[in-house]
Amino acid sequence: MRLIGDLSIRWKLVLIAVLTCAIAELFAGAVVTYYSNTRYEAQKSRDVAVKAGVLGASLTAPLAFGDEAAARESLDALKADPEVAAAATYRANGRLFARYTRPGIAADIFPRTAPATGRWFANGRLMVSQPVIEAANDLGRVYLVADVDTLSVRLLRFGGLLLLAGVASLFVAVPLSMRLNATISKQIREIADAASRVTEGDLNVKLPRPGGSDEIAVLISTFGKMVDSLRDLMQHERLRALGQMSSGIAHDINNAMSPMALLTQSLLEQEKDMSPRLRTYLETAKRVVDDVSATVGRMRDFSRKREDLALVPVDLNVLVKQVVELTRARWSDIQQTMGSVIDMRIDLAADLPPIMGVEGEIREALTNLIFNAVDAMPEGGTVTLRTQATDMSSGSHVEVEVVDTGVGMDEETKRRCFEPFFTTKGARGTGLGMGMVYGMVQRHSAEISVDSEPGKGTVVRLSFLARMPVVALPLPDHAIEKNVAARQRILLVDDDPFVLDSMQLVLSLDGHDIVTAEGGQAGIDRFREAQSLGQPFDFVITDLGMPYVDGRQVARAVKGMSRSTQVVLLTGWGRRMNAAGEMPECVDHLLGKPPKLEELRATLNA
Amino acid sequence: MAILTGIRRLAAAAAAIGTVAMAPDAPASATIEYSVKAAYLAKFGIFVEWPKTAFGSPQSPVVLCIEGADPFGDTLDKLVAGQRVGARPIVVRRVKVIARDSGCAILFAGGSDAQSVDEALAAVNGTGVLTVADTGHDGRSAIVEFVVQEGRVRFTIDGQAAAQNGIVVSSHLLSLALSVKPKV
Repeated sequence: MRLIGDLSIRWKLVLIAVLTCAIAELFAGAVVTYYSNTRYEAQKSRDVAVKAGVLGASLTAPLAFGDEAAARESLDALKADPEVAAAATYRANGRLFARYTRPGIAADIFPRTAPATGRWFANGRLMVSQPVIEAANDLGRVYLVADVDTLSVRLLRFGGLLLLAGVASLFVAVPLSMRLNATISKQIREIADAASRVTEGDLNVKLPRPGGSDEIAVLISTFGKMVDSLRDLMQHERLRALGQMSSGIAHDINNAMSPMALLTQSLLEQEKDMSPRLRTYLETAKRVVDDVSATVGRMRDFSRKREDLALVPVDLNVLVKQVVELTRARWSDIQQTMGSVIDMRIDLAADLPPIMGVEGEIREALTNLIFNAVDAMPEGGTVTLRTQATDMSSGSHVEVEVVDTGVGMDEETKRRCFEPFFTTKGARGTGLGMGMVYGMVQRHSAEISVDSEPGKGTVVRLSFLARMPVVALPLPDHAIEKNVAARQRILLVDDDPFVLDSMQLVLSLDGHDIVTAEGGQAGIDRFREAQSLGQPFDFVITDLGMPYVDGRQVARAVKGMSRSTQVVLLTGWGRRMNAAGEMPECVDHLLGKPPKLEELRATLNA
Repeated sequence: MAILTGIRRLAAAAAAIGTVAMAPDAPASATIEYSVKAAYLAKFGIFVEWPKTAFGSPQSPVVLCIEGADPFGDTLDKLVAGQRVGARPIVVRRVKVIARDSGCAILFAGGSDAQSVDEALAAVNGTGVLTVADTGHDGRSAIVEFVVQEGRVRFTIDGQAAAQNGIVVSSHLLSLALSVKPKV
């Protein structure tokens, strides 16, 4: 059994065919053998009786006239029949008259007197005794002894025949079944190969083409789906890991940038008599800081989750027009510098239903896609942005297609294009564009498909679920007042001394009374001291992410001691939490990091 | 020498028939040669078919007529005693002169001064009688004629004569015959 288990499927199938053949043959053989055995003796005794009859007929005259010579002559004719061992004829009075024995047969095989008529088997021989009759006259007896094949001889002969038939059928069955099962075993072997390659981490395996709709085809298609979803899962996992990493980095960078942002802003506002050169430098520095925080914000987008998003009704037609305008510089630039012509076309469906989404994210994704399309056409070509509403079983969808006539992608590129840091643009590309698009698609529960072939251009299709807005959320009006707030007594809590210093500096310049505490526990202690001294704080501005005691705990402690004190939570997550309408308990305001001076002022004024 | 051994074999054959009681004291007994011929005569009836009109009933005896000189003596009577042709017993009748209405089924024409073999045969010609004679006589031949060859008693069969008398001879008898004259 062990041996059979180790056989390849191909040989197992051959074995099945051969065994089936053999069993069928065995049964057929058994039936034939049984039948012929039961028929054999009857047939044989009939045959020998006929022989005896013929012999008897030739013996009538010799018996009648006592012509022994003629009788012996008739009997001797039996030499030609090797089956007959002996023959004799008896006279009517029962006396032995003439006899014949085959060489090697003892002469005493005959009874002394005529045996009774009949047929019987004995000692592996058949005896037939018949009267010799002429015209109703009983002239004597003829007695014939014939060889009979014993059962074992007969079985042996049948066995030999069966064996011969078996061997012959093997010669037919084995090649035939091998030929027939080659298709089955070949596909299974290919699936097994593919599976082992997947195990080794190659998710780009080529699966055999299913040859029909049998179980193997189902296996192939199921396996294909499994590999696809595994690929998606790994992609997702990779993006998640990147998101985690980038959010960690973003946190650190934001902390580092916070003093820079606040200080440059403050300097630019407060110092009226700066030299123009200093002012230019500071303005440049501020712009760089803003850029960095924007970039960090994008990085952080990888880790955002759906529930963090504030979804609003979005008209994709409007968005497409905006994006085309926003990117105009890029594609008309190329037109001028490279001499290649980019033809930008917009094909918008009328009455496009709105989708629920985050405008900024979709805008950024479309921008990335247009950049990619333009980059894919160094010789120029056509970019088409197309929107359309489609109805599918899963509901009605809105699709945006970005179509280019560029160089296209091969399979490898198509497969890896969403991978973070994968780029075909060399140093020019960050490898994050498509990843962001993918992140946006994931967060919007949308779908993305890429159709591309080398030299045949690329179609990227985003498919959003069309949804009527449940509640139209009016975006809060962030009209920022430049007015400096009234003098407030403020406790600043942060684990980063640089952030503390810069904030203290900036807010002091606005005329506020600032106390700083390094870390959550210190903040709570400072607040308690002030309470006990009868100098309560109007505001507590605390960082969220701090070791040991975080911003939430600080907020809870503060509110526990003084309900009237306003708690401002400062965090890298702040903008998002706010946008989602969530407010942690005991927190009155949420501000993002790095804090913008305007936002701080507005909060303190509120 | 050949004749001697032939006669010895004949004697053996006759003995084999088992019904020849050699009685040297009985002058009426046949010679060995005629003993054998008598044995043949007793059995010929088995191997022939007579015309349907030859017998009155199925039990009617087969009448074996001996015409002229009787070379068999009581040997023949002993041989046919108890012999049957089918259901019919055999009856020996010795007749001096055979006639058409003698009622014979089998006729052995021995020939005599009163009626030669040829005359006897002529008398029953076309009457459904199996005619038997020793070879070497004048005129027409009998259906069965005894021949002594190499010291053995054999016989020839004249198919034409049989046909004339409406006698059908069994192929088994033909196979034992020395020669067969076919029907014309």
